[in-house]
Amino acid sequence: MAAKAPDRRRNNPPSHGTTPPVFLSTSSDDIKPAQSSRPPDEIRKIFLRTGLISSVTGSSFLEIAPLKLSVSVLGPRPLPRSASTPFAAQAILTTEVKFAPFASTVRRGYIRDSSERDLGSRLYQALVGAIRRELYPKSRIEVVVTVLDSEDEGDDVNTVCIEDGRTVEPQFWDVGRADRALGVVLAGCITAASAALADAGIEMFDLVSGGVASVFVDGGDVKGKGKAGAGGKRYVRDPAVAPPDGDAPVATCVLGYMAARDEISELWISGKLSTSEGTAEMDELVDEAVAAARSSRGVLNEAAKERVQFIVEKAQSQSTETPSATGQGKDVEMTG
Amino acid sequence: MASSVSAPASIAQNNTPDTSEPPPLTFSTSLFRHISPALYLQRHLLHEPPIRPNGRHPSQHRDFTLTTNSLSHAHGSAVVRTGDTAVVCGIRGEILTLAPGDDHTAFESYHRSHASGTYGRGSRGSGGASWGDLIVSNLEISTGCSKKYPLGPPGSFAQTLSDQIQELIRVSKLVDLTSLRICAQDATPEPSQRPIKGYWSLYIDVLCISLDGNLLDAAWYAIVAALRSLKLPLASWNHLEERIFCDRSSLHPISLRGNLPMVATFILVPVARSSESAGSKGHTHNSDNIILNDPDAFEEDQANETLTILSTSINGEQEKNPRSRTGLLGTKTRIEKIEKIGECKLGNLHLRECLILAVEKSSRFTEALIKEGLDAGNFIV
Amino acid sequence: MPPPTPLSPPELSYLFTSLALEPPIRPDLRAPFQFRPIVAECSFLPHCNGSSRICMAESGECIVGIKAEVEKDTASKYATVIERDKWIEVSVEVAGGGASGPGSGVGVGGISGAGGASGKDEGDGGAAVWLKEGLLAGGAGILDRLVISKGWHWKLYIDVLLLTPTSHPSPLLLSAATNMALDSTFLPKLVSPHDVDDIPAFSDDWNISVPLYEPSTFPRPPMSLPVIAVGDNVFLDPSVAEVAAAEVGLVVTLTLADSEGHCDIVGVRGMEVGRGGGKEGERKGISRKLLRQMVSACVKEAGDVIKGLGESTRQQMFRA
Repeated sequence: MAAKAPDRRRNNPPSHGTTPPVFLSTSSDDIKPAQSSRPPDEIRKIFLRTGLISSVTGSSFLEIAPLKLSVSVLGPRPLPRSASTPFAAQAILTTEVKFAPFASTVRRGYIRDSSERDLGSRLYQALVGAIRRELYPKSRIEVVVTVLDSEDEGDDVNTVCIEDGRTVEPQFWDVGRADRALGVVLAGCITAASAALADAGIEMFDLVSGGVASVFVDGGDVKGKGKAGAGGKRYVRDPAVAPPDGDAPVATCVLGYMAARDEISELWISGKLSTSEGTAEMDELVDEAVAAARSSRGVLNEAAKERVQFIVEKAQSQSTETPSATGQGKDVEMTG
Repeated sequence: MASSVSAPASIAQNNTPDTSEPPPLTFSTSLFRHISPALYLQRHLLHEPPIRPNGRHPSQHRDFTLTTNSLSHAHGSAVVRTGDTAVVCGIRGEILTLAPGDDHTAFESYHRSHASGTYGRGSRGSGGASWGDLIVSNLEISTGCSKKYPLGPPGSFAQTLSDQIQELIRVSKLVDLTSLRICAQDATPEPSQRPIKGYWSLYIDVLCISLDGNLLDAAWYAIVAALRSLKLPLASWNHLEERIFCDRSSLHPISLRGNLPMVATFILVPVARSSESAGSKGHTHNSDNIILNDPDAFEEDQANETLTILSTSINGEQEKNPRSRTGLLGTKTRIEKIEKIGECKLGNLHLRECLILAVEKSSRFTEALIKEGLDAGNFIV
Repeated sequence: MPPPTPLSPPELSYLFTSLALEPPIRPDLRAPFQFRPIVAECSFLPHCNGSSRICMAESGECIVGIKAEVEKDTASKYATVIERDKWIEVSVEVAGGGASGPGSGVGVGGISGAGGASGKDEGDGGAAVWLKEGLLAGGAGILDRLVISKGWHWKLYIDVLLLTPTSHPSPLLLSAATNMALDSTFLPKLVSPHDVDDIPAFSDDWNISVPLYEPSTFPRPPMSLPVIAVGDNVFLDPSVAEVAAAEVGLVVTLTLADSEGHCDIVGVRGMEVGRGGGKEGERKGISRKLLRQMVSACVKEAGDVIKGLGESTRQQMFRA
């Protein structure tokens, strides 16, 4: 990491500046991304748990190996009373996404960079329509996402291959890989944030779940798996950021989807989609991403159900044992 | 999430509803807690036996869980959860390459002369260049972990804690700085004679995910466990390319102190004894303050004294029953640092009690490390 | 945050209703797919490799300057994989000071992904992120055009200067200006051989300089079209008031794929809209049917718009 202007509020790296380790490998095929054994229409396993943080209104923790993120929902709480605060008939939603410094291959700083802000406002776009903001006037709802671990470029960013004493010809980077990595994070953020909002008891029209799909041009060896679209196209749901065969997808779609309303609240497509048959190619890609979002919606529903069950059980046990109990443990007798 | 703490069975049936005649003015307990938190806490502590609102005994610490190496991009990492406080610590190594003209002895000696001082020279702001600055620790609480701390740049609480941790790492000499050297591999047989080409710099980042009091202890344990689990790739100087390269396939731990220093934090809560309750007390709390081990957020708000003890158990080898060490104070435990923030007087008795509890807690943590396979035996250098 | 609007809730509601009518009535009486007239000029900055100035009736005025520098391939000292996304740098700034002046840290956007929620942090806004994303996306192919010779490439600095102070400029304004500037970008001619590692040498004669985008090579530079929907009606090139009243919005980035005017989609993003006129419980997102309608509207019209702009660029270049 290059030396930057020091941050006066934090402990700073040595002024000499430090660099991430550069690895040396003697053959260029040393690093291979792990082959995925998933069929293309299956998404990765999702671990989603809500209510783990007691000091905030709602929270959730999501894990889709290796992505790990924690979401907390603060509020609804009143807007600060000041002259600069405008009247808000609807709740003001703010969203923030922050990567932990150790969440990606290249260490990130503490100050949010443009890609993190970009993710934050895409998350805003995905959630804002789903929340019944008119029920919370003059208040503020904050959604904070902390990404602890993510799948990104991988270690080949900082690997040098030297064969017979000569540096091997550098390869070209697959452009858009970083964007795809962010897309996968965004889909996770959307799903987890919905769960946290539900945990906070904030009224919503529908839960939003995230989905990702990519389209690849098939290089002949279809291996019989996957849904072969028109013209040798292969659609993969929840694709790995670094594709196992090394081929880059033609286009990727990330969306936030409200399953009960069949509506898309946030859409991001990047890549090349031909329009020779109208929007058919795009439609198919969007349909695949929607299908992926539907799968993660199932997990979202389960998490919400679990949470409701837990609350109901807690309420029941409290009403039978100690009518006036506030929380855990037993209270001591006290009178004013 | 339900608290992992459960009330001791002995005090289970204290508040059987009084059916005969309700007192003229009663609050529900939850209301009482909000209206008068100080009194609410005191009433709990004056109870016989004293019991905290969270169901713990005053000297009882929260149990914790420890998970290491769960992050894919960090060289070492740990997650510690104690009660409702959860922190994640990730450590990454980066390389500081010495410029050809740089003299490493100046770089290293600068640290030596200052290391013994009680307050290490902070690198905040200026970003100094000395040996001790190779370890850069930061604590982040602006993660939505609590309602109390707003988002955005770190406030005074986060800055204080970050500093405290940075200082603890220096003062306790937790990391053997010589193991951060990266040497050139030439024919000189003596490793100490090899020219030094660079250093590993360790970025220790602690993120608080959920905050319910006593962040320092949780953060420290996470740092110690993450340092234990840390494995750096083998770095070496390449003569042809004139730079430092790493080897992914051979990883090595760094050397830490053999006897790990542990922190334990206590608070003192004032208890105003009314005359009728004072007479019947037989336990050791004869002052107007009561010690609470491992406070939660509610208790921290009421504290007028915070005491942090950094201690080391001299005996590196594990005993069958770690609890047997309790009380053998002075022979096997060394106190390295006591930090007291607050206005109270603190008697020897109090201090002694805290020390015993601190030792007990650190032995419990050592157990957790062993369970993770990170016990000292594998690592002592 | 949705774009600020001077309209009151009743006015928004009125606008919403008139846009939802069958057939819809737009405030400026345009047809749903009709664009506003623009004034476009290119190659007017002598010190830039390419430049353009676009003026739109309501959205204001915007200047783009493109400078190219020669750079060695291994941009970062610790990597061998060349991060080609760093070959292009885009910045968007608002002139005229005020709250959204340069360096004040307020993001410029309006497109989903712009600005950030709190605006506390420094750095450029989302519009730059989104403009660059469109340039780099799959079909745009700009990176191959930047290769000079073995081991060397051009690095493009695209600076967008918005002369009208607004935090939510029309995506059309920004992307049309960028498109035109790229289309008019000329790079000095290489005189040293292609396959040598040495520092490349160039001719200083600008008369034989080569265009970045040779005429009639495809794909052409990308262009982004904003599209909104109110009820079942789809509108292209919405005005500020229309965005404030709209239910949903998208920015569709397209690039010309052949001389017939067929386009490829290279990107789609959500656009922040005001949802000013709608009623509770109505549409909260885009249904797939509506998505199809919105994107096909863009696809249908984009060919003519991009071709028209390209023609105007060529005419001006020829005259110059």
